[in-house]
Amino acid sequence: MAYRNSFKQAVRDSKRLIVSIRQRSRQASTDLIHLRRESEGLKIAVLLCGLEEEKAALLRSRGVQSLLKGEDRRVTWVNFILGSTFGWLETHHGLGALAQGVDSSARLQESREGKVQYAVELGRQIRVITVSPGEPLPPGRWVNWESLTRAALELGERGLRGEELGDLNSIISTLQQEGHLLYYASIIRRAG
Amino acid sequence: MKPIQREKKLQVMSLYLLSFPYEEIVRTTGLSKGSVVAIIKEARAGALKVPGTTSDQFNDLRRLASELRTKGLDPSQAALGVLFFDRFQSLGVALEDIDRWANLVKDFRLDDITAERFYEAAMRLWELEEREGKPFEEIVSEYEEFSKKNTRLNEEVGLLEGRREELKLEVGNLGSDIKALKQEKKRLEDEKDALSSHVAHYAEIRDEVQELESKKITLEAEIGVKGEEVNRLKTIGFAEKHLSRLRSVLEKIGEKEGLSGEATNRKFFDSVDIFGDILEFENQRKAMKSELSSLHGEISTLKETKAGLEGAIKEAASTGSRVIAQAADQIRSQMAKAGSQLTKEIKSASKEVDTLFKVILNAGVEVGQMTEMAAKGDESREQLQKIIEDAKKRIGET
Repeated sequence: MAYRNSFKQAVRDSKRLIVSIRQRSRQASTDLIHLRRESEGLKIAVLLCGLEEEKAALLRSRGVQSLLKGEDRRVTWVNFILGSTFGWLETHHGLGALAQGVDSSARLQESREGKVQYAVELGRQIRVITVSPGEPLPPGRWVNWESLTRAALELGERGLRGEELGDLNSIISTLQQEGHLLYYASIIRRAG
Repeated sequence: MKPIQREKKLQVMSLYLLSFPYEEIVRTTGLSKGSVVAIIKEARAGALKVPGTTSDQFNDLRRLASELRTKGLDPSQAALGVLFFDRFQSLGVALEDIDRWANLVKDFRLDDITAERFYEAAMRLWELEEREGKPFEEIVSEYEEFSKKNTRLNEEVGLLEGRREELKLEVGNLGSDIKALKQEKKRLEDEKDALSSHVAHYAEIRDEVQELESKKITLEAEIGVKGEEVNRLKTIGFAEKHLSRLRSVLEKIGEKEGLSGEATNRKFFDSVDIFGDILEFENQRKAMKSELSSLHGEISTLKETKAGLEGAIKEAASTGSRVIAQAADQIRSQMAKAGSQLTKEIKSASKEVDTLFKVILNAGVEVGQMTEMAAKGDESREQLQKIIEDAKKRIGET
């Protein structure tokens, strides 16, 4: 009888344990599916983040150029020094302060010239350039920045819903096939 | 008259707004005073657009420039002050806190950095960012962000691997339990076999008792035959006292019959003629007596044996039969009960183990699905890592 009770108790404990294992496995599967979807979304986030960094680098380059040979360089330098000073006060870091000064100069330059348009080439290399009417574009298929980011965000949403986006080539191919991208015509020219 | 160029007009307006007197403007620009006055009127009327200002601000700007000049300040310094004022406001620094802020700036001032070195540092920063394709703080921020994501993913993978190991361990424990149950079942079956051999032994004892009972019946029949023979010998017995008794009987017969002793003796000896018959009869009587004595001893031995056997038989019959019967009944009953109970237990255990196996199977399916999801998650993570490296490489090449 004792053995029977012990056996029944062992079976009950085993069932409870296995049910617990099953529930935890189910929860883990759900978490893994969620993580996998987030990973698919992150693929698009990585691409957009890289493009944004390239765009920011272009903007800073323009800021430095405005410091060197832009119009009204005295105001530009004062703006740079002020930006660097406040950057130092905020970060207490030399490079961070200088970067903030350059950003400030770039923003001043942008406020002078108006909003800058950007184009992206999606190929073996991914390039970002500024465009403006009257300047020729380098050879290649250049995509409008806003249309590309809109299509990429839409694709990222599909990834979050569970669609497998594949590697970078697959993502670029999908964007080019279904993204409704706007390509610049060859007559559009870019700013220096 | 040659028209005055727009650049010249803007130079006149710039000097005017900087509160230079008309004579100074005439001397600087080389225009006549009338032309200078006409240009200023044109600007006030709105016909001449001065970038960055409107005509209704001319008086205020000229008066402001005059006051600055009185105080020995340059308009660019005033503009710098306005920028400072705006930036102070954006940082939430009140006017009364400006002195404290200035002291703070002095505290953090880099005395050993000249403007040239500052510019040189800026260029080096720019070159660094150009080479890397991103700003320093962005590199650090990106590295920290990816490190956090990587750490989080590693932690999650570690947790999942831990869960998988726990599940393996639990399945292993269940296998051990099942093994123990099988061993217990085998032990019970061994006990059942041992009980069966005991039952067979008790059956042998019962057969022996039945054999003893049949022997007892045979002995009782033999004792009955011997008793009849003893009774028959008693009826023909003859002893010596019977001879004296015979003489006295002869004398009495002689006296009674009136015979002499001789006649009586003759008659007696006549009777002796039949002595052989009588002797034979006597021998037969002795033999019969001896046989009777032997039979008595035998009878007594048989009686003792019979009594012993009867006691033994009775005891064996009463005790053994009862015990054996009881034991057999109990064993049979217990065996039947144990067999029924064991069968029931085994059926119940088998059913519970079947249910348990079904639950384990379902759990195994879930665990399998989880493992599959984990493998897909690993694949997705590796793909993401590859995309990060690929994107860095492709974007970095530009």
